[in-house]
Amino acid sequence: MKNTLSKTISGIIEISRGMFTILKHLFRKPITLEYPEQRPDLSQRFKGRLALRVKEDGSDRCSGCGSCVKVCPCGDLIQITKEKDENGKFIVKDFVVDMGRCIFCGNCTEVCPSKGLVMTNEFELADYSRESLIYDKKRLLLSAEESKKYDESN
Amino acid sequence: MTTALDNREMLINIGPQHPSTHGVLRLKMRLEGEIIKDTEPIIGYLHRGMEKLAESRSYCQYLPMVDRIDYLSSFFNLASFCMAVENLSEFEVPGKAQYIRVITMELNRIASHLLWLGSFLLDMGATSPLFYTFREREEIIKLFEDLAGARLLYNYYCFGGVKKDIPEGWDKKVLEVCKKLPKYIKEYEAIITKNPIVLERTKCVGVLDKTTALSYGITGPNLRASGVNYDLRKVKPYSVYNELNFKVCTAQNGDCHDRYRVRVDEMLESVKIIEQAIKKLPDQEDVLFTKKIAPAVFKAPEGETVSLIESPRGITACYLTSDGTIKPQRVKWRTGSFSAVQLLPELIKNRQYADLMPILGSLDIVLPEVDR
Repeated sequence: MKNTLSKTISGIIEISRGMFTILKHLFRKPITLEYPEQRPDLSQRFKGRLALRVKEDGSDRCSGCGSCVKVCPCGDLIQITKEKDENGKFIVKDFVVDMGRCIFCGNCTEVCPSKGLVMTNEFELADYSRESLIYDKKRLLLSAEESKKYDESN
Repeated sequence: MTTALDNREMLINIGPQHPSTHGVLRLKMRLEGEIIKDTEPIIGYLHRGMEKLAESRSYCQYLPMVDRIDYLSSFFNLASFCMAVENLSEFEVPGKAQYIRVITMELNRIASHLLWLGSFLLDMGATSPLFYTFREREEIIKLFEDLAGARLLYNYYCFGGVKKDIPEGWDKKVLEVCKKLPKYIKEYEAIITKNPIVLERTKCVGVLDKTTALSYGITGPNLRASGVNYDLRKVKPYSVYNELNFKVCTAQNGDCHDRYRVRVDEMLESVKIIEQAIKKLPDQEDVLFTKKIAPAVFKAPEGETVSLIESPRGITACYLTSDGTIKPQRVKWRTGSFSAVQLLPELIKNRQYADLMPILGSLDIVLPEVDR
């Protein structure tokens, strides 16, 4: 009897102590981010969608060396097609990345010798079909200003 | 399990997609009323063939996949694999990289335990602690995002060091979080530790004695809650743990409440370790790895090795055999959760069905780590 009574009293005290802690949160600033309206503040190193940087005059940085292909854990995720231009120099004709299979590890951007391949801050990649997630060179290329933005991140 | 059912017994199936089995664990249970007579955990629903994948990939291609073995404590898996390769190649990790590794690992331990704490309480029907733990976890995850660029799967360590230097002001941010954490943990304790409902459901429930724990190969907080003072960071210090001052948290009874106790104490110890490591972090040293390796053609010398690490869920071991080519010949992982899930039938036998969730929750099972 005495035991039950003391247990009840201590129970009431402890529950009210816990409830008081929870109540304190009512007066704190909310920590929720109202996502589509408010955007998260992403870090410089954020690993988002892959993109190709260009030089200041708008020409490709990527020389098509294929380092990124060799370190990619997903096998044939990146496909580079090269062709010779009129001077006999190799140029990158197409650069295809299947973003639907990318695991965003960042291996490819680390090995890129010309710092041409970067990871952007873009993370909303949902789409209606698998095919539309395959990015070709046209969709991957950044403008000259955007390329500058990702200058320091590497 | 195969014996014919008594006409008072029934066979029920929990999972694989049950909200509180922490992943995809399936339990086949023989019940007599509310009493659990027998349990058979069926694992393998999250099997991705992590060990086989290594054989067809080069060392650097396999590195990001290691993260996915246990996604709640990625840094530990990375460190384990990197240490195995470093053992083989005889790389000496420079001081600054060692300290960065210790800081990130301990932060990861706190983040992992916080998530465990939230989901453990959620299993028992308390919703608010989950929101509170996720609030603190978010702060730690944000630090990782600043450092490695990813929130969960970091790919930040490389063979012989770390990939990038810490960003400007990052160590100060870590210290700020460290300052806040003990205050927050005190708040959880006010809500949880002496709450009569929690006490009723966890005290003397799922008692794991020393001998059973040792015979099942249980490691980590689950073992320490049973009164065995065994922590790899003390017993066999790797990295720079021998230069840091911390104590091993143990409890005596080995019930669910003790397992909770040990994990909460461990979080506080981790905070102390991080604060010490930040103080010792070399300032002007730019060496982050032993030598620059060419990722596509990196070859580990012939031989075999094993590296052991104290992860939040017990000892993570990586056994690696190399035949001198660019691909590992064999990689074998040993994880703490795998032993814990085998222990479940033992703990739950002849208990009420309602005890299942506190016991399963307190063992801190992460299914991708079990199935690999």
